[in-house]
Amino acid sequence: MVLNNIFNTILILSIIFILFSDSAIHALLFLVIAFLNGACVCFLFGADFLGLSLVIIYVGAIAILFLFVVMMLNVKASTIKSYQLIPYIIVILFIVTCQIYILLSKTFTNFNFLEFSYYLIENISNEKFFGQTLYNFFLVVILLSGFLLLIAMIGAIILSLEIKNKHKK
Amino acid sequence: MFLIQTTLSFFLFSLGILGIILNRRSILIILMCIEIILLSVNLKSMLFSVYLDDFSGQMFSFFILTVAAAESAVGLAIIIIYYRLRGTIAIYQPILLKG
Repeated sequence: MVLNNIFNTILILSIIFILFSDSAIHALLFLVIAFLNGACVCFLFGADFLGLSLVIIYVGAIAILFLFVVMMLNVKASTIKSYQLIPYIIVILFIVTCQIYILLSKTFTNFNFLEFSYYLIENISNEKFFGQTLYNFFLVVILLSGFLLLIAMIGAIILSLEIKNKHKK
Repeated sequence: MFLIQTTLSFFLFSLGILGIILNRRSILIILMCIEIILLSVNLKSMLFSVYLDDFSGQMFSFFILTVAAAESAVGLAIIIIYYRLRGTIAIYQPILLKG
């Protein structure tokens, strides 16, 4: 419970710091911290394969892509900084979040999760369960996501390809 | 715990949208905020999967990860082309008005 609160607060704080950061590298580092804390929250709920996937795919692939782009391009911080609207928006966000909390507490009443005791029929790990369902029931989705990644790779390569005019002899 | 985590996912979602609206620096921040939005949706889906004892939430979250990676790659390639054409990826009014 305490660990949950710690990771939640660090997650919120790092995402707020992304909006207030000066340079792009700082924003990237806070993004990586946010992803890692999201993965820790996943671990604490028992979805360990999903947490590992978050670390591998989000931090290991997407954040590295962002880092490459930041290194290649000349990312400057703009001189215009308008922070006047931010207190109003934070107040509005807080009110909306409280409304969501009240709404959810009215719909999910008597939601006892931690007090529920269940009988463990078979102790199968989360990764094994993931593999069993993924390759038995979601086979088409795996193949389709493979095609999707292939198309994205081809698209990214073609988009960033620089075709130079060859001299005619 | 369930309520706290659900409202937290919604708060992160709204923070991501806020980052897109209040962005005055560069297009890269928009992509980062899109990743934040997808992260919040992933956490919410995982949470509901754990609490409703249905594995579909985690499965859907796994494929959202795949789609997020694909669209990040293509979005960053588009940013590279934009940089080649404009010379900068800052967005403020004088840059947007330039031809």
